[in-house]
Amino acid sequence: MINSLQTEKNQVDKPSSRRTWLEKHGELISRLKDDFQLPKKSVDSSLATRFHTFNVGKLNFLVSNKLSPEILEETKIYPLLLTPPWVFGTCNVRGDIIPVFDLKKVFDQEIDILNISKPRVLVIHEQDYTIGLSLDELPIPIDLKNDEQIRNFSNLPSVITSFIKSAYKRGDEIWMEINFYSLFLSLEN
Amino acid sequence: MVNKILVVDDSKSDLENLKSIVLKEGYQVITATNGEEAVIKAKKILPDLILMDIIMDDKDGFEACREIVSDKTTKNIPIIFVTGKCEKVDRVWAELQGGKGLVGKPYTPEQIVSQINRYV
Repeated sequence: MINSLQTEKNQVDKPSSRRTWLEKHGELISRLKDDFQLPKKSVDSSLATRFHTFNVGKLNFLVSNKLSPEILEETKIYPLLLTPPWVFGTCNVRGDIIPVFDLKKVFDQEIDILNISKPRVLVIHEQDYTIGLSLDELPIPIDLKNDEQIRNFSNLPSVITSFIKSAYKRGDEIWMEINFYSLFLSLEN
Repeated sequence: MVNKILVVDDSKSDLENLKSIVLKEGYQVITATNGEEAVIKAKKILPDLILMDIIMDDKDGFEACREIVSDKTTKNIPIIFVTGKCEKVDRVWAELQGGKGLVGKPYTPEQIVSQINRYV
């Protein structure tokens, strides 16, 4: 037995034979891996993702950096007739006409009359769409760690739970990254 | 050693103008014409400063800035935006994205030189 293993080992030391040996025993190796449940590549919990955050009343929202958030100020928003109240209007972003939505009206949040005269628009560019959200304040960058991510959305407002891409909790604060486009599309329907 | 400055602008005339200002000051100039190219060159060359336009096709200046600032190897490279997008909110937004300053277009050579001298 030892002699046969030794012969096999000598053969394996040759590069061409090594490939054959691996092919021959590949199935056994993968079965051993399953039996011993070798650790799979785990997600580093200390790793942080950078977002931009903004508030709508008491709700904290996140916008991924991947969506190229951009801010417009002093931009003219043209109201649209016969649209729901949460459609603020349209504005021109370098020649593209984009819809601007008012999240406060969606979530029945108080409107700060002092800020109405100077609307800021957060422009979100995604592959299929570009939309604007009217905001009172500038979004600020925030780094949220993987271990702060929450999977249970039951405590979050039911109107948006199905549009949540991810949510994070730090202390008593909860941040939600939602698919705004799908949200407005569903509201329209 | 001559300091290297990466100039990023999709407009050829603006790129040439910025390039001549920087060259006159005795710096070595590397150019890029969009954000994607800027990120690649920043990682490869590790310039001492980046002069970056904001409105560019494919990857804009903010996006490129975020990528450069979040990379370990390039996070300390100062980025100065040189752009026509120069409202008050743009200056704040530029800073929030990791930029060190913003020079509005049209600019004077002195404005560019003073920004370079501040960080190089």
